[in-house]
Amino acid sequence: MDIKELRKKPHLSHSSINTYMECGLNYKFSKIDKLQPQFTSDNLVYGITVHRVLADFHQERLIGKLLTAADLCDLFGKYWKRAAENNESIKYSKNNHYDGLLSDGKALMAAYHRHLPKDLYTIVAIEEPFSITVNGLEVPIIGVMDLVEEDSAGTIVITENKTSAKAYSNTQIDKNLQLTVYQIAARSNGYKDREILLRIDCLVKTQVPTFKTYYTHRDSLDEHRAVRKIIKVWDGIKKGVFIPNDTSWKCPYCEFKDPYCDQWFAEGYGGNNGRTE
Amino acid sequence: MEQPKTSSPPVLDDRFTINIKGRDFVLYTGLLDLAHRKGLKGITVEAIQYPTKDNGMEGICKATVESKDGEEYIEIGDANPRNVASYIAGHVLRMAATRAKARALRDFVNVGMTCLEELGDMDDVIGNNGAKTASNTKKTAKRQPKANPSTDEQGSTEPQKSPVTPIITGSPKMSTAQKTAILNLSKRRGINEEELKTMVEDAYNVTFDQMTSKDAAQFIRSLQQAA
Repeated sequence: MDIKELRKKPHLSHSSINTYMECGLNYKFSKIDKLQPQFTSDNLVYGITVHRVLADFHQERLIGKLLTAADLCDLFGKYWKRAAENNESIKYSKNNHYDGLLSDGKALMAAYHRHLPKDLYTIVAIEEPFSITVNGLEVPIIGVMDLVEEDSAGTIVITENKTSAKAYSNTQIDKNLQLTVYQIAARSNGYKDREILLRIDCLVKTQVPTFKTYYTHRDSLDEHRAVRKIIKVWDGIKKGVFIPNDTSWKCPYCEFKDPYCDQWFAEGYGGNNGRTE
Repeated sequence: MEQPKTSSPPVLDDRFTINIKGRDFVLYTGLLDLAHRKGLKGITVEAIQYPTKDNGMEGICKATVESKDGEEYIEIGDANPRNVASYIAGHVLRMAATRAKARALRDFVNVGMTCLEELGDMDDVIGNNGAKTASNTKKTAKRQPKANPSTDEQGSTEPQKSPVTPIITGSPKMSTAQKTAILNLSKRRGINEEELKTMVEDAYNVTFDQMTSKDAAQFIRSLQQAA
């Protein structure tokens, strides 16, 4: 299963569902109109780089080699350089710059290695693509699971790697839609009768980087709720309902704000003369 | 001439029966003793319903008794603050487990007598209008077996030569990932390890490390819902 091939056909993914729910207009610009973003956010590139390093780490684990903290730092340096050096499309947030994020990333990798979970289970899959169909939804839901492991008793542990500016709250973990989708996918793809645990391994980008592991669980009601929500999202997309959310904290960092979003809001505006008195 | 030896089927030892106000009761220890002699392989207990305010603090447990011959006897036991003695009201799930185990054991060993530990209170035997006195209780206590007694949480005694942990053969132990998840989830809920151990013992009648995979899965669900 190749995720690039899956993406070529109509589909939903956790990320697109989330985008639609956070800002319908952002979804329209990126997925329907396929507009070229004005920039790439530094956080996105940084997150992808961390994912690549951790994927390599687990890939080496799979063949029995445990990379050192120095190895992880080197890998981060290599991937960061490849993705960000001389990349003028990256827009750095306030106080961020190429070198700063390079050293932050290395510190983060060292923190990851220092706080590695004691229980390293048997790796079943790394960066595992999936595609599932659910009743009532005309398109498949696709995605990629960062890490699938199995302990000695056969319990499946699905892990999503995250980088975040601050630690997650219980609600953020327990209601996380992405993990619910992963569980639905795992159940549909051969793990129906297995005990499934979900986990977020989060690298927190505080001044002194920390690493947090959050375990969570979903039952059948959680799965049902997620499916109903996803079907409604698709319903909205089909009907062309794209409601902008211009009060989000994300707006100043949105790659479509200027000019697309501002232009969209200005449509039909005739200046002061257009005011209804 | 030497008589050929015959083996008669095991029967309930009289030491484990008790008569209160004309009614015979069997002690849980007696059921256990007889079950061992009849080839008890294991007892599994599963909490079907946890006591919550919404269900009137009623706990329900299912016990499965398995014999070495592969026979299975399944029974349900319930308990709530209204059908247990006041001193057990804080431990209704454990009482529900005891009742379920007693009922399943009675089926297995073919004893029709009610088990004393199934009762909520002595009032159940002597009635609210009966002359319940401390001496009644003391008298019955004297008739309990004396050999190597150890007291369990219901106040009954149990001969140490036939200990049965209410687990668990055939059911796999809690997995490493489940254990890690429980510790992680309870930490997120602000439950310390001591409280966690107590919660497990109350709910499953076993220590944290003795939990089965099934119990652990159920416990993870309850921790998740406790958010």
